[in-house]
Amino acid sequence: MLKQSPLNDEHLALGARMIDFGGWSLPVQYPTGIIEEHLNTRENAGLFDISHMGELKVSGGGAFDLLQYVSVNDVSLMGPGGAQYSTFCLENGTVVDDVFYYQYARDSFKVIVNAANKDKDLAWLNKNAARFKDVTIVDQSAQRARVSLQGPKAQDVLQSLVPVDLATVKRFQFTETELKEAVPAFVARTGYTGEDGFEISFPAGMAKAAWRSILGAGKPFHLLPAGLGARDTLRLEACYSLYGHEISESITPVEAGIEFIIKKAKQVDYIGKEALLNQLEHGTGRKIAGLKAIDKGIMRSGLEILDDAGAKRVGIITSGTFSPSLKESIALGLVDVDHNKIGAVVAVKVRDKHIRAKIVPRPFYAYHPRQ
Amino acid sequence: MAKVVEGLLYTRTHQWVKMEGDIATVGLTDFAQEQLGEIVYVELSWDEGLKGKALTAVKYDAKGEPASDPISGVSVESQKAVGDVYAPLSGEVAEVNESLKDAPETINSDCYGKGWLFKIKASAWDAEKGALLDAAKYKEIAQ
Repeated sequence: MLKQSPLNDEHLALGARMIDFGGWSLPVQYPTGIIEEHLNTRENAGLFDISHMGELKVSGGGAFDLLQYVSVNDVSLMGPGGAQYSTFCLENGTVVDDVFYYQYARDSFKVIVNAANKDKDLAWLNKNAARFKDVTIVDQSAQRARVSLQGPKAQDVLQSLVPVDLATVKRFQFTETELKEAVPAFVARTGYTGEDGFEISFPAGMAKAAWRSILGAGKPFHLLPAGLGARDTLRLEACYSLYGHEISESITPVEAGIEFIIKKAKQVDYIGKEALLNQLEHGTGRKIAGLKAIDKGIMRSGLEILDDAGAKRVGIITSGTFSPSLKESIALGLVDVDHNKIGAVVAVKVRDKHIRAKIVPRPFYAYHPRQ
Repeated sequence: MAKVVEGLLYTRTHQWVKMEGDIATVGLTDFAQEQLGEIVYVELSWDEGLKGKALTAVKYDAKGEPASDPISGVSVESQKAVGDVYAPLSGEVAEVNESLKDAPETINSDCYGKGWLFKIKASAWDAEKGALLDAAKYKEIAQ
């Protein structure tokens, strides 16, 4: 039996095509289709159900020290009301999960984690919490529902529903407010699309009312519900890592090209510190690359990347799609550093043929702030 | 509900066949294009050329699943999936829909018309026609 979002009936009523996504039944697309949902999110706004994601509360006098210890990023750089992207890593620097922190106070954090990793993350936090006094970890995932409202019109849509002036909530900040119909809501200016937007969490029992009021408020702004298909193509254009693809327990943040989360000035010890600082200093044998196909064809996850002559294996595709915004076949791949140069040509082995591709700068689509 | 056109013949692998003389036009059914979603690339052996290639009709096992290989070098790719294409009939490829190279989405918009894939000069029509389904039979599996 697949797990269902509190918004499951809403998706069915909208005619969504549901898929099994890591044990969850979720909409991959609505009748509008992936490409239109993608383009509309870039042009207007899209509403995504992300209720499958894990939502944890970490609190107590030891909360800050625990998160510093399991985090690659420096939690001290984030103040109350702030958000931060980070990873939990193993000692060897590979990634347990990528997470978002939201700090209420030094002793109170919300942590949003990947659905498929939630149990692993809870075990990881609990195991490491033993080193610190006074830490409480609560899994709020099932009690709450989460949506992501993304796109240049996202603020206009949401502003009509909340009393707080959203212009005061900057990127990587959050607030607690109330949606219409008295729905208490956590509203963060974060996202996974390359657009301005908000991730919103509210009690699961109020999910339908909240979903409907957001969609209703979005009508004048051409807000459309968008599924996991568009979520994936949007994040891939923006080159945001997807766990299990660009990052995993066999890939480090340095290899994945998200070394900006590693802070050399972070004094305190944390898991993976030695390995990651070492990689920062000496480099890694392979590194993520952006690829654009020269020949026609889709470069899908798992395909081998060969050298220009098609003779030697030099990497592997981690994610690939046909980019709805660029109208080009794009991919991310882990490529051996001696073949990983901007402008270099490689060959991607698709079944019985080779597609030539060029290594290009990342991202394919630069983050687009509110104008 | 996927559209099934009367008068065409169908395969269990969700293709349609329109027989005119000894030439069979082949395409994907509405059900197939719906299942795939938005088609972003069609590979019809563009580099090597599909025309003239000898095809052998798909064979099925007891459950009605394909028991022979799809056509090598031929696939239909959507945002989310790669679809194999089987040969409904044996014969030689007589013509390829070149327009799909730059407009693969035609399969979504007009799968029974402009979105046809290729034509086969059928070499064993009498022996193989019995394996094809009429519209009524196909409707039963296209859901």
